[in-house]
Amino acid sequence: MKRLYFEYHMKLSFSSEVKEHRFSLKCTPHDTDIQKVGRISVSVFPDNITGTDTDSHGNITIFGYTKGTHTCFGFDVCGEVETGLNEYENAKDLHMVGMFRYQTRITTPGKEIQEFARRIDLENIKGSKEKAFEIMTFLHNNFTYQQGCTEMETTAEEALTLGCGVCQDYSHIMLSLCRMQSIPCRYVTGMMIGEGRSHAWVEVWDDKKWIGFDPTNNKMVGDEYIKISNGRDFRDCLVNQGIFTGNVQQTQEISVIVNEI
Amino acid sequence: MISYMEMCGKRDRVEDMEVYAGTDVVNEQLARYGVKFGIYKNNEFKEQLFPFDMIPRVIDSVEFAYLEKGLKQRVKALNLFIADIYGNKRIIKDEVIPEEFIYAGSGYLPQCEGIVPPKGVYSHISGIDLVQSKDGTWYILEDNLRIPSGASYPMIARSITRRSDPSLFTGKHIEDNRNYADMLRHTMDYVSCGGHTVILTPGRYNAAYFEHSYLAEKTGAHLVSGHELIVENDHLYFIDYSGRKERVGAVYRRISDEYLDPMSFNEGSVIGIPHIFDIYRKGNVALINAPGNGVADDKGIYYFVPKMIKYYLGEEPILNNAPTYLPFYKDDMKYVLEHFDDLVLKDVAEAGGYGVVFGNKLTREEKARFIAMLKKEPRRFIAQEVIDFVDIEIMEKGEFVPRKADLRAFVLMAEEPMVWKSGLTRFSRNPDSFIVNSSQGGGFKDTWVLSQ
Amino acid sequence: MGIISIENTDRLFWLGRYTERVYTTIKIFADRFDSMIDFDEIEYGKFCESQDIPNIYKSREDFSQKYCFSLEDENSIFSNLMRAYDNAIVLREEIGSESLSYIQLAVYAMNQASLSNAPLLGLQKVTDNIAAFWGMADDDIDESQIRNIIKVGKLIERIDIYSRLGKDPDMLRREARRLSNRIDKSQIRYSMKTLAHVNYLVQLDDVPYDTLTDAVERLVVDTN
Repeated sequence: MKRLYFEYHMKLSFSSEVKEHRFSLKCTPHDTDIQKVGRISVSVFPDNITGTDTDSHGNITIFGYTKGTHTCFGFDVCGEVETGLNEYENAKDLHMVGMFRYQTRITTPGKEIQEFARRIDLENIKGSKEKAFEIMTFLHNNFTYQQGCTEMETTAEEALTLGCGVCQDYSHIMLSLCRMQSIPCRYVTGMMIGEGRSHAWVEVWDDKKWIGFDPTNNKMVGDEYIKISNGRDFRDCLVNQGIFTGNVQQTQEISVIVNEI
Repeated sequence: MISYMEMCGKRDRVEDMEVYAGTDVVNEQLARYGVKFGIYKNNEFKEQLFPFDMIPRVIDSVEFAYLEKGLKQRVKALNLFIADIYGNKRIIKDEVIPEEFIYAGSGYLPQCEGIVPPKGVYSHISGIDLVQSKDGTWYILEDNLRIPSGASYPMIARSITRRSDPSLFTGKHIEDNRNYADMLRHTMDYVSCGGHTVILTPGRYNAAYFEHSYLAEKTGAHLVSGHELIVENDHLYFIDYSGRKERVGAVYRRISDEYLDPMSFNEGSVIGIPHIFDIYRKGNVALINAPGNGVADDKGIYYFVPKMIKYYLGEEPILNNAPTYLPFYKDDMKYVLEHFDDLVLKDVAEAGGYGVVFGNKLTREEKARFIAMLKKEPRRFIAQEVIDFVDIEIMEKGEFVPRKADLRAFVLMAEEPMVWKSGLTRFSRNPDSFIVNSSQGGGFKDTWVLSQ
Repeated sequence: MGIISIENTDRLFWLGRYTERVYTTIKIFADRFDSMIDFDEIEYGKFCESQDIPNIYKSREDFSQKYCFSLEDENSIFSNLMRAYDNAIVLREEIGSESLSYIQLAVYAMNQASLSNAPLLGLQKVTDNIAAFWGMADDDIDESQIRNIIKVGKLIERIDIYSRLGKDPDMLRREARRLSNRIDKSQIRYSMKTLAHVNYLVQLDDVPYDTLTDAVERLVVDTN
């Protein structure tokens, strides 16, 4: 069990003015069986939050609208979270999590992943947790961590073809491989001690438990992690989603700090 | 079964029939009122008149009472099914429907998980397509629960034929179908969360724009496009010319789920309303029909509707499906391969008469290619016996000729399901074709339901 | 239901303008066409200049065909009718199917006229339908604001065209008076200063037509 302090800063800069900007943010951790969110503060600039809600995956969503012109947009979230309260999240029955057994556009395997899957020997392994562990280890050992090699919209198949990527790609490939085994699994966005950026990992359903696997670091998710959101793939967990009027280039900067208190 | 000919007495010469003289007059009137549908050909938008045939389809009161009972039962079960899928999923747990038919299809929307729409109504307006075989049996061909269109055509055709040929109706005890607007208004008001009721159109270049504008006029709802509505402080507003905001409580949206809200669905949508889905989730606006309904009208799910009726209502289905096989099941695959030439195969992802293949119309190579595809993706197809539809007479070049026709019945759901006592009868103009969709050149008839 | 979007007030306004433009230009064309029967040349060059449209016509026949019926000529009467139609078609629930049907009929009549040997008779059917549209709109539309917006569009267009043609000041005064009585009822946004200017200009003995045209064009564009 740990008490963690975190800061999550996101800044979007536009090459010229935009207006009529509508946004949805999934940037705040929520309570789970593993973590309890304490004091938290959220500020958005320009400050125009119009409401909050919880989406169908249980993620906190903040939405808002900035009518006037602006050239940058962002948020700062900071707070404290108690982590490691449990080893797993309690999950619903198998028939309730069926949607997590099916591939999405992002995770659909192609030739590369199918070929890759054949190389993982799962035949004598029983249990989803054990299979997922094997998949994680194999993936970790056969995929290279490298920034700048993939983009946000890169699919699992494309990433594996490139042979390198970041935590998002590790997670998507692992989801694809688990779903090929009919194991329900979901994508998680969050933060981790010692990382300067946001992180992503995978939760696998096993006997009414969601168990966290971090294929990027080849380890089980423990109390150094803070979960923000989960879904079928990264698209359900977009930290910032927005539409606005203006034909501009945008650059995003994210910085994350997580410390033990 | 009764035909107009029997009802009014068939004459040898077409010219002697009461309906003959009226055809041109009525089509001229339909043109006058702009009764059209739009189609895209070579990327160009064209408006076409929807050819109208004066000979009505006639359904007697006893037969319609039977259809009505069956349709209500079916729509009730479909609503319970959608509620179940986005809720407790009992039907999956009890293994009545294999989960892949839900999750691997395109109709299921995970965003709708856990949402209960206002008053618990999912499919407010259902368009159920039926055909009648030569032995008189009615079969359900397809359920349309997303944004079924077509009610406006028989509505306006009835107004015009009554005006142009009143004697045709005198003393015949035909149910008045012009009450559709009242039924629709009631259906929309029943679920409204307070404020104005609007009809949301993607714009005049949509195939069904005539219908959108006509229903708006007849129901007194306001016709709007997405940019005229705005979400603010958890509510939906219409902005009028002076900048004043008027609250909107119900949206009869004629745009599909994926374009409804760029924040929750297709980001590229410019016809949707950002954040409308968020306030819908909070119960602050009714969306008609509810998003996510597609899970129940997928062609793959169609096979299971009779099972749903038994499962949720504990009743035997009153109306039958056309005999259907799911190649997904081994036994059915075997049957399909053995009887390939006698079957019609439908791609579950397609609509509007596209993706329909008649086994006996394929060349050898095409057949081999198709079977390979079927074996590779068995879930993608359903196979049906070719029903020998009853022919309906139409007038063409001064002669009566038989053509295939179907019936789209409209079931509206408020406190209870209501069946509109009419329907859209579409016919194929091509004598060899079974495909009646307007986008494929079909025409339409009025549907008379007799009151006694 | 009593709520109109800013977009639809705009469309109603332009529906008024375009129906008027079609109606009046057909009348003017009919006058010119009549004189063309006796004289060899029609002064279409001068006409184009007055209407501020490019003279792209090769001969009087070319002019009377294209200016009336060509949809490729963006200044043709038919093109203007289609603009009226494009506005009307999206206003069904504001103006009603009955009023809308006359615009639809005007389009059919225009198509017929373009095929006819006696285009003037065909064009008369177009003006008949436009007149019927105005009558029906006046009679059938409940919402007075909607009727008034269409009328304001119509009057502004009329002053615009009359002024371009250098019509009798009395005619201009009459239309300006009608506009002044109507415009507030339409709740349309306009510039009071510019309206005062229009009213001043038409009262002058020697009406400065160019200035007047310019002022009336700016009436609902200016907002102060």
